[in-house]
Amino acid sequence: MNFLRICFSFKGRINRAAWWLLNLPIFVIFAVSISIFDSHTQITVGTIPLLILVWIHLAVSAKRWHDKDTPTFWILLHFVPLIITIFLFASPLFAGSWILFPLVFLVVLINVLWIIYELGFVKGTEGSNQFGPDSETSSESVIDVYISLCGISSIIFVFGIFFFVFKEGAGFLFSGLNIWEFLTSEEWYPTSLNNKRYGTFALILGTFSVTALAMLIAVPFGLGAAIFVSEFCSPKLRETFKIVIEFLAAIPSVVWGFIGLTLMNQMIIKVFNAPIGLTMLNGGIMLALMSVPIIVSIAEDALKAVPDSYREAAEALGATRWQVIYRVLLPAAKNGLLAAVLLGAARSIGETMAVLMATGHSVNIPLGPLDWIRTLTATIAAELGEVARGDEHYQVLFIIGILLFTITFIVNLIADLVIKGIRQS
Amino acid sequence: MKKSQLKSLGVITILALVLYSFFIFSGSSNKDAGKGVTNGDTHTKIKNKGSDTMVNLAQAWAEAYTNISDTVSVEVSGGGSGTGVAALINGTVDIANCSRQVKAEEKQKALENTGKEPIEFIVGYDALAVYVHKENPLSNITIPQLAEIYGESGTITKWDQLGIANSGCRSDKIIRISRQSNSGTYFYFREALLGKERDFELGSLDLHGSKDVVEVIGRTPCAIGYSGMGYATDHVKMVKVAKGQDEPYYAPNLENVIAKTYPIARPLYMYSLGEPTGEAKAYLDWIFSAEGQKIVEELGFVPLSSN
Repeated sequence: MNFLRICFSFKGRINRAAWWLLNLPIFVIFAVSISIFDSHTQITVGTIPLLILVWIHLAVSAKRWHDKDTPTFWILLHFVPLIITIFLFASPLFAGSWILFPLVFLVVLINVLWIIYELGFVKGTEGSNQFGPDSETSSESVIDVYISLCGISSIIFVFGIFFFVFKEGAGFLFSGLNIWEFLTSEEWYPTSLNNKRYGTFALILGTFSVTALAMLIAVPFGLGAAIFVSEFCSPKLRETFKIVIEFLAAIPSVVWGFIGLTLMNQMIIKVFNAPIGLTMLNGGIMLALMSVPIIVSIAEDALKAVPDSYREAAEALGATRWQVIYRVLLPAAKNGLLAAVLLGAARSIGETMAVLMATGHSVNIPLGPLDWIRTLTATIAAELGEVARGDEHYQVLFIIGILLFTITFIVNLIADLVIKGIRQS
Repeated sequence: MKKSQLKSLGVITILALVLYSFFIFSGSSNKDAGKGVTNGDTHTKIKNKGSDTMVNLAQAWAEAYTNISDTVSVEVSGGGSGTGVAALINGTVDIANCSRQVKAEEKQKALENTGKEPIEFIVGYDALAVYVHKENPLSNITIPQLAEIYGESGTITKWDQLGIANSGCRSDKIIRISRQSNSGTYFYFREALLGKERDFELGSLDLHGSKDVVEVIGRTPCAIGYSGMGYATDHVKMVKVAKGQDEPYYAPNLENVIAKTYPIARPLYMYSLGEPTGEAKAYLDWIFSAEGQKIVEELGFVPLSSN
């Protein structure tokens, strides 16, 4: 039985799984739409969709009754709550007599629970009956459709988000914004009263410099830790390590930001004799601490995926432990290690709260790690909250979003090409 | 054939019936939600949103007001002055809190969108204090000096240019702490220092929230910054401010703000959509009463007082 016939036909049989899979979404759609739309929209726009949903519910339930060898007209049971409701709300006989309410509620509850029990939990007759053959595999086509929907949905979400961000920023992007100035000027004066300037050069530089610094710290530590955990640890120590590292990943970024704002700030002032500790170095350390757990766990998986026969062959040839790692394991796990580093970098570029608090959030061209900076993400986070919707400044913040989108896209594209290149050679 | 046609006709009739009752049911439940009827008597909710500077104050008012009225509750949320005004324009709040004045174009937007104009109420004053680290010897500063520190192409970048030896800060560089560029506090401070023509110099540390400013200054001997008077801690020092070089210096405190001698104090506003009526009017009246104004003082702001 194909998916459309399962949904709309009143003939044949289906099993319990198919009944649940089709009725739960109907219930969710119904509940959500009556709570978010007003009754005018419900009647004008909602009538036809509701009719279709009710049809599907009845068709599916009829086939489920068939499955239990009961005739079609049993679906009339589904109308009991509605008939009672009509009486309660429309009939002058019952108008205003709210005492009846608990009683009616009880009857409806029993009716609904009984239908759910009969259709959702009781198995159909074994073998074929008067309505058709055994229904055991009837849910498969429904599951097929749902799985492909899940696949398609990720594409829809990505395009949906991109469309939304683009739509909000498009007006100013194509008329008014000087794109050259937007990318190369360091003057970020979005709220100036007489001369608004939207230059993001300092912000772009801030994002890239703090990410680079974070990677400079995180990659050696992350890969080193991954090699240690995967090659040198005893199994017991490895489990402890993994738990601790995963715990590190569970700390929320606002906590890292707070540590940067208070503890790290003072430490940097003391150690480097800097005027203030809210600097690129501070943000870089915080980002490194956040991306190390990602790098470690993915790199460790990549190393573990190298077959043991490689290690054994290398050792049989007389290679030392270091030679095994450097000459055999690292080249063999190259793709996975690169993926680990890139995901760590993506985490750093996208991080918002910690860099907002730890880097000083200052429009400034950095000349060294002790300079304060501002990133693209932190700018959106700090300013979007208080900007008037549809304003020029609002649109520019969305254009920054488009810029971030483009940056991540390019990073991912390069990663794909690099991995492809590695595979071919 | 005929029989099956009859059948589908029957199904459609039933569906129509179902549909009808669904709408009655959902329609009537929506109506109930709108009225907010509980236990037979009417319960009114006043929605209040806006300035982060004022959020603690608004919350304190809302809490105290539950003792005044059983049937009215005030729902307070922050998000910034701009957020409050945006909500007012969309007509989703009854009262918007604002630490700056609503702009003319925002008023116009509200009028277009809802048909009503925002009405302004000054509910108290906030003095912006200039903070430095507690070990910083600086005790007096003038507005022109602050303008040269913060303003675009300003000339003061070192502490010794202010005539002090800031021994805790070895690089002697003045670290400017500011706020994100669309907060009400930032707008007010910029206008008080530089008027409407000049901008701030880039490179200040634009922190997020009044509390963070004080927090960072308390840990940074080189820093100078501005924040509400009520946010002072033991780690920072408030500097006395003078309007000009030969004018007297005033500390940010209640007497000076009420006497209007302290130069950087600003009014705190509440806006309602159209002339307030009913419970919203009663609430605003209560805020202006002695009891409401006492709460202003308790939270470190400056009440409207007797003048």
